Amino acid sequence: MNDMRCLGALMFLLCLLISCDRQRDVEVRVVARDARGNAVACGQELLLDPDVSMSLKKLRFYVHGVAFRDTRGQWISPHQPKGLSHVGDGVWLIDLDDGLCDLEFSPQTHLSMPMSLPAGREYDAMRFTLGVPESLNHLDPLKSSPHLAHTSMHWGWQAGYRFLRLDGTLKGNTPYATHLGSTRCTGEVGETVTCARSNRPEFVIKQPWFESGDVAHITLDVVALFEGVDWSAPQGCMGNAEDGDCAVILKNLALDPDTGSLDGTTSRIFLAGDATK
Amino acid sequence: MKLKVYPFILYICMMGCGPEGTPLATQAHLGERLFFDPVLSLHQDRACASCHNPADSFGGPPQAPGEVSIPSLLDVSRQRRLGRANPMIAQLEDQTRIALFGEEPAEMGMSGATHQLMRRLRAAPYYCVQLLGGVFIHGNCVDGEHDARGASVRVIHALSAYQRTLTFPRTTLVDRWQRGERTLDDEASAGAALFYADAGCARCHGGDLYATSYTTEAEAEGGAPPDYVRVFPPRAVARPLRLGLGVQAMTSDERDYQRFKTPTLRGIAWRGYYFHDGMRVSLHDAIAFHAPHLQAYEHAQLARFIEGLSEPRVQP
Repeated sequence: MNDMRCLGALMFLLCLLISCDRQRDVEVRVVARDARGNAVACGQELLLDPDVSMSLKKLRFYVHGVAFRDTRGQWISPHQPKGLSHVGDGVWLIDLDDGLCDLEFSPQTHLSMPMSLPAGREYDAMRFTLGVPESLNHLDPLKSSPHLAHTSMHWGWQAGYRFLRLDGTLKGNTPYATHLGSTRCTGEVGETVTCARSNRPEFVIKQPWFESGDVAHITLDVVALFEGVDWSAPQGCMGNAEDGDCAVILKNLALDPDTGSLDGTTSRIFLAGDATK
Repeated sequence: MKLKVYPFILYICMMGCGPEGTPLATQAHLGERLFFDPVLSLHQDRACASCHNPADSFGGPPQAPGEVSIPSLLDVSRQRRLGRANPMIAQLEDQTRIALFGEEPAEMGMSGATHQLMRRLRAAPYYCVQLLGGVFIHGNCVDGEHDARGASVRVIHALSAYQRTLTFPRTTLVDRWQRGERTLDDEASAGAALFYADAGCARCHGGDLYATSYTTEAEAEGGAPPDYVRVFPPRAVARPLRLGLGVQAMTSDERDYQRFKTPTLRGIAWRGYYFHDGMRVSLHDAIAFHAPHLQAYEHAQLARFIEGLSEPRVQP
């Protein structure tokens, strides 16, 4: 009788262990919306303001430091699948122009963040950091893993990656570009490079995650990214706070333009769920 | 058998090997072909040599008013820092990658087009075989490098190997004078005295390249090494704006506004443009701009000495 009890207890423990270790494959899909609420895609007219539209060429960004909070308040880092060209090293490359505007990208392959999380738990918040971690930021893109090998995301003269880029043309075919990445860098490429301004914004999206399925959405609000930009004299942003529209855009990302650190406010450029029409 | 193989291995070791295991001579030969081939530009409308003109010291004047001039590639492998105003770039491969894939400014414009570049190279029998290690049969490139990144790296290594061959001959009048092989005429001798002493030219144009600064970090101020010298009075360049800022574009430090890397004086007399914006069209004019406190005859003496760094004119 005692043997049976012991066996039962062992079976229970084994089941518990298996249950704890069981992973659930999930996916966070990223969409972007303009002022009309329309989903953003390459070559489309993107409404930034009632009077300002942009023909989108590129909208891409890197995400790292992803974690989900379970109902006990514990932050869990997901596992990444292997073998995908836009995923690796804890970094996801998101390509919201759908890859159609760039020969280096394949269409419809960079719109989501596949991952796996411990099963049997409920999650109420997701956090992530925009950009590439410092440890990966100064690599040679042509000798890096596929997700970091996109030359259009490498910022050669700043010796690092563009964390986010949005390129397009405004009325009159005027180019407009916003590139965010670490700036005020010194050192020597291939040796040691350090950047005084990190410019890595962090976000927390509170919503019940994966309640009704294995796919959940977040929305990049492009209008919120550019809120406050003077569209009567658009200048674009090349990372430094002193450049054109950078100060406004960095503040919208909850970054202190003078230090490149978090400014303690909450950025509203990422929304929970699919907020497009 | 061993006796036949060892001399070959020894020959390869003496030649040195490129990063892909190809002898450097072959890398440089490939690089030369690529340097003159517009296949490397997005619209196939320009080669490296279109701007870095071999007849103009592998440099060139501004392409349009308000733009920056094209820096010479002569002796580029001997320079401590590369480019015009980015103190972080010290390796030729990094600078070449920026020229191919950079966007601000877009020189060859290949950002995001590594797959297109590889397809073009695989379609060319010579590059298929010699650069990518494939076999060209019936109009197709079989085997060899299939990875777009790998193909791009091979291009960069070959171009860098070629650029390392672009050295300025150390046979100029001044070189031979410094080696004690000849004397200078009176005007050039007076110019040398001014250059190394009264006029203070050698303070920035020092060393074998005539581009090494002896200014201290403290004297240089700002965020750049002393080899980067401020243009005074500043002359704004409209396009591209970032290059016109000089090192300030990197450091955001006002003291670095229009600080540019001091160029070599070797071969400088051959050019018809001077400074980052090409605004001076003669060597005399450039010297007079730098040394307004000297007399005209002293400008002429300095010019005679500096011309001695370009004579006789020998193509690398």
